[in-house]
Amino acid sequence: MYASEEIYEKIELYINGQLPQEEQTAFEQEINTSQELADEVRLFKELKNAIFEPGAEQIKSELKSLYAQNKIEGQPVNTSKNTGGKQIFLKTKQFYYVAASLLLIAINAVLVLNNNNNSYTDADAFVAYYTPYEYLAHERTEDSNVNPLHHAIKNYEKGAYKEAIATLEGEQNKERNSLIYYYKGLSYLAMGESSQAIDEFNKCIQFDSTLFTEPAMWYMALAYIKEHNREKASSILTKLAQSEGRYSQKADELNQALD
Amino acid sequence: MEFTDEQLLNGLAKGDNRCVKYMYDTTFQLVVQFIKGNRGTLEDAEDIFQEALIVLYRKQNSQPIQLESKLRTYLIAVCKYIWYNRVRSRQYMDTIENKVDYGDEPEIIEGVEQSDRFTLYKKYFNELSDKCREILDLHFQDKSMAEITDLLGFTSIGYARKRKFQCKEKLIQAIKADVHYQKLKSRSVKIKN
Repeated sequence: MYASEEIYEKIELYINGQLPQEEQTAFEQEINTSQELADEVRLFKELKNAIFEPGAEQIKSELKSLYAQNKIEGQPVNTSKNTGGKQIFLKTKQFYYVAASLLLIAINAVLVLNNNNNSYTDADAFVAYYTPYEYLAHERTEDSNVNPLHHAIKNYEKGAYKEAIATLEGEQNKERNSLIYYYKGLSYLAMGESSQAIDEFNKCIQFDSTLFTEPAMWYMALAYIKEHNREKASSILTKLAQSEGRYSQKADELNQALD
Repeated sequence: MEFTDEQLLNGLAKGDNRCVKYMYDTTFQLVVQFIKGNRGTLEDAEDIFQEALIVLYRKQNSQPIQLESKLRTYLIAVCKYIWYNRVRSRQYMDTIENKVDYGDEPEIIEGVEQSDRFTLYKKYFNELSDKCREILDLHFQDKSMAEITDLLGFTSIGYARKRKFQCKEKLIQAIKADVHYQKLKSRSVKIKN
């Protein structure tokens, strides 16, 4: 609709602020009333920035060399056979390698100690490790319309957390089931209400070892991180790391990241 | 060398290597952990990290980012959002809600979608003829029509203007015909409303 030389010219002048004041104001009003024109103006503005972006190429090229460097440093040292005078040279070389490595380790240690900015914050750790729970196939074998618990799980998966909690609360009065508290905890955590999530996970793990015990502990640790209670989080993560279950490796990693 | 978040954002907006390296040193390993823990590889993490830095670059150059927490947390959240989108498009996790779990969620979504649009514009720009790319390149660098006429050896300013319009029109029509652009456009309208 807006494909004419004049309108293109006008949009360009408008973007560059080169229209006479009256026309600029009138054109602005036109943009405010026409979504199509607003889209067109945005497209023109974005095109200009998208086509000429020298900094983006610099970022890509710097990252390319950092990735390559990371891979070279990560490769094992080549251990080929050495003989005669070459061996003396290599021994000297090895000495320098060892000395240089020790120096690097020392520098690193000083940097780590002096650079608090490099330690992970609670928010970093939470964002990096929190993912919504993925259902296990056998948890949903029944028709979700018939079984309210499966209906609640479905709502949780859709992001309808309040609805999920409402259904689970209704069921809570009818039966005692670790799944109810587990999904209530998950829903509260997803809504950012970590304190209530902890209460529900606590109720869930009161049941003797169930399918949800370990996942509830994992999400409870994340909820404590969100609450900035690293001590509690770490104590749960240590238990999980020792359990050799589904969450042990992740728990160990996260615990180390929090140290 | 230490940087504040503001210095980092301004540095990234110019493609400053020192800022890129600093972000890499302080954040990349966490991104690797997240991606590997969610069905990805080191190569996926490299790809996602680069895409996220480009999102920040483009966003900062369009409208300065208002951080609600540390830049590193923001960057991880961007990586996470891009990764969920990618995994979802590979149909591994199509039932899972794409949550960023970060205060600036609408801004992050908007930033990623803007960056997707930029990538799409570039794709169609690169499909234009050499001459069209030359004309538009100079035009987007704010060269006047007189300069473009001289630099590209056109016979008159009027002819150069006509060619510029034809090239821009071709580019814009190609972009608008792309289904992905239509989706990105309608989603951005929804976010704003």
